[in-house]
Amino acid sequence: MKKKLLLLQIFLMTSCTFLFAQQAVVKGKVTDNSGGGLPGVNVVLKGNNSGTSTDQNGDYSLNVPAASGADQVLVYSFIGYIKQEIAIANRTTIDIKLAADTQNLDEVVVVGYGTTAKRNLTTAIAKVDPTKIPTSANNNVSELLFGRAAGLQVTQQSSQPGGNISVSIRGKGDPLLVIDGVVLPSSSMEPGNGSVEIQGVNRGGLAGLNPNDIESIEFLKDASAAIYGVSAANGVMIITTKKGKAGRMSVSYDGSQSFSRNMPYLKPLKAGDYMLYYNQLSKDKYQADRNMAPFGNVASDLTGYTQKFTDQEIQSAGVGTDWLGQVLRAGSVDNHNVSVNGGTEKATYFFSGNYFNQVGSIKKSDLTRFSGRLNVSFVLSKIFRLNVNVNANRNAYTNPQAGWQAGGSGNQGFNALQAALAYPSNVPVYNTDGTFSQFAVTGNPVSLLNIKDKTKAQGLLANTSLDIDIIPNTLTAKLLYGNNSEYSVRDFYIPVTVFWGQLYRARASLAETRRQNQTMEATMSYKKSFGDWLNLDVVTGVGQYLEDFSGFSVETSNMQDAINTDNLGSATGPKIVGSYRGINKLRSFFIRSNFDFLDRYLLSLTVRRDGADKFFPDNKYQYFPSVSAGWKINNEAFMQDFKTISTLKLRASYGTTGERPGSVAYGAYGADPNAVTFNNGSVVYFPYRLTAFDNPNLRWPITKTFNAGLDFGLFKERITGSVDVFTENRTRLLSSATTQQLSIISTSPINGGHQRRKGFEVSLNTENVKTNNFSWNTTFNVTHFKNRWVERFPNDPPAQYGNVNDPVGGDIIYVYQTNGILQAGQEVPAWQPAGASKPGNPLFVDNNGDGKLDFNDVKSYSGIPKAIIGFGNNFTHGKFDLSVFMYGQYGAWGNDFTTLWGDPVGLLSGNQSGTERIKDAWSTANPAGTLPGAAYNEAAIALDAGLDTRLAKRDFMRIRNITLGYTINSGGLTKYIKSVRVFADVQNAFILTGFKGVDPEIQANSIKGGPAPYPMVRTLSLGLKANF
Amino acid sequence: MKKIIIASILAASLSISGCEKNFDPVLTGVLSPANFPKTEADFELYALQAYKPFGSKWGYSDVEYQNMFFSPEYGHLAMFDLPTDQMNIFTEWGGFWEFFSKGDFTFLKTQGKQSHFEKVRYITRMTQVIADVEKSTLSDASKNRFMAEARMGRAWTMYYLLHMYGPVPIILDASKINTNAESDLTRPSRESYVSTISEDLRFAAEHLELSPSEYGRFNKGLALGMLTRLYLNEKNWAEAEKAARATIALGKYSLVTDYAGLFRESSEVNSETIWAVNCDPLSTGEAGGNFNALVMYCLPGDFKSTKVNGGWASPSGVFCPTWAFYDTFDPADKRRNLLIPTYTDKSGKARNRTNMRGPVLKKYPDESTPGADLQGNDIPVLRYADVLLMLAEAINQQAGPTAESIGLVNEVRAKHGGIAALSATATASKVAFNDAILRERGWEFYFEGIRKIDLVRHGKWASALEAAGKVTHGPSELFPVPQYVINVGEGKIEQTKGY
Repeated sequence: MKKKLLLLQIFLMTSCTFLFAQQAVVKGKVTDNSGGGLPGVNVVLKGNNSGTSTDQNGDYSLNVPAASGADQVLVYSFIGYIKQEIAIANRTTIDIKLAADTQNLDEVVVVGYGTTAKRNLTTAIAKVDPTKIPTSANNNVSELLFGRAAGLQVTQQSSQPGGNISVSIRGKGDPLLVIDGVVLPSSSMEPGNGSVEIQGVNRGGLAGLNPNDIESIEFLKDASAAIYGVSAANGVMIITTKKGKAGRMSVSYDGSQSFSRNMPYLKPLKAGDYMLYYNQLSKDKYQADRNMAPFGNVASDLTGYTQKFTDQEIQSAGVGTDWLGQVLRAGSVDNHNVSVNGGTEKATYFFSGNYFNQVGSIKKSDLTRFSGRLNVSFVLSKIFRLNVNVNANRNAYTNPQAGWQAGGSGNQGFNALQAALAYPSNVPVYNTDGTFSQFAVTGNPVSLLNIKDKTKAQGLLANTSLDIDIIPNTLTAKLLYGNNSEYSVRDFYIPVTVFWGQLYRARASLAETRRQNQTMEATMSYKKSFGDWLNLDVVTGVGQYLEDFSGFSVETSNMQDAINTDNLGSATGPKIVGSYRGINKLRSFFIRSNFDFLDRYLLSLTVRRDGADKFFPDNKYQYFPSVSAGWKINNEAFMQDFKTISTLKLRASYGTTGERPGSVAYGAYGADPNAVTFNNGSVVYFPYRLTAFDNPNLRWPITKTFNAGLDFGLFKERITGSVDVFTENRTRLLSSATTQQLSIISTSPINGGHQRRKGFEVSLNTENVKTNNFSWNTTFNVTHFKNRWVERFPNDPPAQYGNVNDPVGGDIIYVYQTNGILQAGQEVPAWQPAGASKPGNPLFVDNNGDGKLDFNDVKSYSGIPKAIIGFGNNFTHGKFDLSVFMYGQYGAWGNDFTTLWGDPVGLLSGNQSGTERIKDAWSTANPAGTLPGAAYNEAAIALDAGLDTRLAKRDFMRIRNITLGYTINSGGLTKYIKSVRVFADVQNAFILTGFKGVDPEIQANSIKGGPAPYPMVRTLSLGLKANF
Repeated sequence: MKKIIIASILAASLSISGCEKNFDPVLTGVLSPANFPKTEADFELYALQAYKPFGSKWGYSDVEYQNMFFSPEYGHLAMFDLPTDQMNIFTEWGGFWEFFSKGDFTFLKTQGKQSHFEKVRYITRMTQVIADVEKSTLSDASKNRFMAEARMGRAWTMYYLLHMYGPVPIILDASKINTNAESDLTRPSRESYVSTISEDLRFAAEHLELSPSEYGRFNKGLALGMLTRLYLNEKNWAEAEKAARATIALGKYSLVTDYAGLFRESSEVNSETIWAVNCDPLSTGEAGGNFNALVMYCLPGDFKSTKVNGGWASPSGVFCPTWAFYDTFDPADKRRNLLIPTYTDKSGKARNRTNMRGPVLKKYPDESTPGADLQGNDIPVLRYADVLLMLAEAINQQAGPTAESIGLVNEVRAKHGGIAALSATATASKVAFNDAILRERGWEFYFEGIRKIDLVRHGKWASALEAAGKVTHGPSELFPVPQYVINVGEGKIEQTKGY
């Protein structure tokens, strides 16, 4: 069937190619009111099948029967513009101007290897227009996307400068990223810092791209992604950058200054409180450990107990050191953009430069970026047009190690921010002799700021393409070569003067990573109108995609602070050297045919055939077909009487996509990363071991997506919107999964498992008020999805308390339920775990009433929001504009691991202070406490699932931007400047949430001691945008 | 016409570049099975895998941070010393420390894939290595050398797994590798399991070198000593006696007179230690060499030592012997000197029996120069004294107390403890002497990863724990099979009795 489909397409293409014969040619340019060329305008000979459409510059060329040229009429039509009919009258050149039809404005949407009018779309593609989103305080495209389109889930994982923001389509993984036709990695390539367990960086990808350079961003959410076949199971994010426009040179400056303040953070205990609660809880602990009343039957005897802090000390302690204040600070951003744009009919250019300097809200946390872009296009001849896009960037970061909560070494491995929470307020910053104070095994928070941790990254994205007009506006071809190369180096040094990891030792790590992505594609496109009854648009192509990556690192110790990583050779400690390299190749062939019958019935067929080098020959290649159809109901005759309905289109798509294999099907022997040493470390071997068996049957995973949607427009498009429902089946998943229990290799690439994602999304745009002087429009979108297992991997059955079809992976949280705190003297329920039988422990709930606590009592909670919402309002009044945009989520659960800072176990370890949350802990002095007390030690209970004590709803609604602008485009100033807009923007103005951790969005993993995520900031930006 | 030419060129270029040939995989940083292992040097590197579980580091990356047998956490000391009558219960860190110290292993049911059970995969791996060496074109001498290391590793791992879980499913037939047989988790009989270990050890004993030039490699004495341990614990006294005598007959080993020196870095290589984890003083316990971090687990947080400014735990070390055990020593016994009954803490406060949970275990002094917290002291795993005491026990079990067997025990007492020979009552009967040997082993081998196995062999594990106040010990001296294994076991693998 798939092969027949392909044959049909090839037949259609070739047969159409031979339709043209010897004819006269009419040429011309179609422009809009401003004089700019209008691309994509349909030019059809009236009453005839032949037609064409204008190219990127609005030029067209149409063959007309030479003999009948005299009385022929050309029909120019383009969505959003008023249709015009012009008699040819024996002319060979006809230039016309089309007037915008403000009643029926339609967008052009990039669909991958082409564009289409939104009204002709048969698939679910979301478009985000970055020019409508405030960019002042934002260095990364991802930051513009929160809540901006239905089907997007955008989550701020880390709020450090350049921190990772995960962008996902319908909750899937990282989408395939395509910038101006070039496939790029969407992830960052942050080098590590060796074996030092203070990682702390979670960088986002796309760091080299200036948000101000972007023309549009499209998300291919359903089978529309199938044109990208192999790599598109997570959907596709297509970014198109700004291009030059022929005409007078236009210069614009866009600059802003931003001021940021930390949002409310965890509240450390004041000095007196720390002492008070330490005393109270340690007394409880003393009694509990000895089974003394009220924790046990032994009579209370405190003779062996000494209170650590005297009452007098507590009373005179006061507030103490503001450790957070020593580490946190106010932040700022300077952002300056200049762009120049213009050109002639022979050449157009767009040039831009950006300087972005962010001072982070933790000390020693910065980002400075320089980036430049040059997009030029030359008409070489009638047939050839050369396009060159170049983007270069240099990013420099200072890392505060708080951007990511990693490292399991506990208190000794804390970074400055964690240390600031761990240090009790009664400890001064400096000892009386001027040296840094030290508490327990943790380094002094202020001294930890002396750790050097810098990342430098640079990237160059160059992309050259040649457009070939074989038959103008009908048969065109494109050759594309794109190359993205990135380099990144992390320079990490702990001075010998800094106590960290229980040592004063100079430790250095210098690591660099490189990667290169190449896209080579040749495409041909054929567009033809057959009178009024059919518009045909076929594109076909081949491509080869290459990625190679490599890295190099050196880690060592014991050297001069003044020299540090400048000369690693001078270090006397052992030098650990590492390097790696990898290459992946993909080859593809693809074809898409779009049929538009009678401007009512739309059909689109695509087939992509992809090959990956990492599979065995019989399984290298895979077809990824898709089909989609649309019915423009509003163009039916029977709809002409329903004037309120201006757009009504029903569409459906079904298609398959694959996933770029991270796995290799070929067997291998690799060096063990861990040495075997003899003679006390002086003889070192790295054993070689089998790391993979040959796996000739390994195949592409297949994702099958079905999507049905309805696009509507009411009251002359005052109200527009879309509704989509989707089901996606991910089958024969390919993952490194658990092997059979007695296999040599514990995990290995396996095809297995099946997941099903279902959901719906709605988007709505309304123009609520529209007068000459005032307008108000509203945009709203909501997304809902679920993702469940249908079938598990063969050797990875669900845990005992799980079900086969539970939500996938981290989207589900399993917990034992608790209900209050066990009070002194209260009867201990029979099912209470032995390790939790003393007062102050949480009371466990025997869910199934069988009198014992086991996996049958575990309850599950979904980590996926029931709804992801974006909601914006824009107002204009005269020269003022105001927009308020918010986004949020509802119905997701999560664990708030910052509660570890309020866990008596941490406080009583003597190694850390904590937060005010400890005041809610149960103690003999605070029997109304709602949190577990000193006798509770979760690790000691050793249950197979967690407790619900830290379970929290992650619902929130964040006011992302409030922007007020004033535009001057008349008066004396305009002699020099076309227009000026001044604006003020508040980003993250406030958040409505019941979540008590740092932020419901930011990742804060469970780590020993407690996570201290980089705080969220509120930013005020004042800016100016001028066009010259 | 020109257009048609261009079109054809394009079409041609499309079809050529669409060609699906010449598309071989690019594999980097790995060796292909087509040409590895082939040479002697290849097999040298390949067979070295045998050593992987027998080190002391934080973890290794075969599985999810699975611990080595001699790691400070989840290693032989935590598994075989903490859950005995000699050590205090340690609750401060909760989790596995608390449960190991209480002798309750139930919690291991929910353990993930860092579980030692995962080492069944290592057994399969060694089976593959042995088969690959066997069918290679190397000389017989080289084959035997590599196979001896692989079989030593396989046998020793099987021995430890036996003392954790009982007989575990294993693959000994290389033709079953990478087939569905790897899902058959039926436990073999103890008899066949033990005979596999003994065959491997005999082969290893025959072909391993007596004194390998690289200190730390497996050696003949280790194979014979482990064979002795195996038979002794299986109560095959006759074979145990034979193996012990064979070890002695190697003529290489003798007891040292400085017991403390066995654990010091300066004298870690000596006439008595048959095999020790060779530790690198510069190692951090990561990817490099083995480390010895035990001082951090033994010293209380307020104990200022030679170099270390206190251990990681408070108020006592994680490994903290009981006063009761301390009191069983003859006060003159030099072996007791490694238990510190009094000290002055960092704040100047006097610490002694009245305010200490137990004596401070200072078996591995922190003396090496580099680093502040980690040591290079090798960790002895098999000593000649053990062979002598095992021989004494094996003889006694067969023939009762004999002059030879009593003499063996007294030799150890005299050389290591500097104390008098056993009393007449201690050697009065087979039972009395057997008990005396167990006591002697306690004083001699505390904190060397042996005690629990000794107690189990003597049938005294549960009673000894209860006598030491560890009344909440678990239902079995063996570990439960992790639930995830049961889940994939298709009902074939039996859970350890009691769980």
